[in-house]
Amino acid sequence: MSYKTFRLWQGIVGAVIGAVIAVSVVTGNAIVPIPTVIVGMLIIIALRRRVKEVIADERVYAIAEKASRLTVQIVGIAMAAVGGTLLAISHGGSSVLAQVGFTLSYATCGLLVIYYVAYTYYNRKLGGKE
Amino acid sequence: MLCIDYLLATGEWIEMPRIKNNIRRLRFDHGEMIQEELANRASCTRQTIIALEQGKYVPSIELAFRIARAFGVALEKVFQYEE
Repeated sequence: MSYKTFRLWQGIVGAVIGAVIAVSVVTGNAIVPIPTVIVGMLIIIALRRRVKEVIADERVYAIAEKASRLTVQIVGIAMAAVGGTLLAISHGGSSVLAQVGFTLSYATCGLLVIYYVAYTYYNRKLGGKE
Repeated sequence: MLCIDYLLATGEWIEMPRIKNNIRRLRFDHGEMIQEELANRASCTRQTIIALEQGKYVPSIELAFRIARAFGVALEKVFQYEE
């Protein structure tokens, strides 16, 4: 299978999944979307294995690494700034703002912890001695 | 906390590479080999070959060897480091 054919089938499967989810949302059915998404993902994985061409190589992974790092930077700084601002504003005032501020602040801490664990894992895997 | 230092570091990843290559010339020297054929021989994508020819991407040593092998020449014939 060529890459173009794969992309076409990927689009069709994606459209079917989207349509099923949309119908499920309208009808209030919460069960149907889950197996649909799982089956759709399995179909896409099976189709991808049939593609002979190289779809992703080291350049794609390098781009993904840089994009991931930038995302962590932007999201981390934004969440910390917004969370801190909300906590400062809500001091003695709105409890809703304080809850959102705490949530964002803890989410930032969680993000940094996950980043640290992932960094330590790959550092050890790739021979570092930090 | 080296990981945080790296996370906060900026700028170094957009520098232009100092490694030049002769991929385009070598392709034409090998019977006007198309980019797709070279990509198949080197097990990479055509977009990577395009990026290499434009000097926007520096390959890993493994890919560099695969490209040199695809042309049947030594690594130094394909890639040069600019002082």
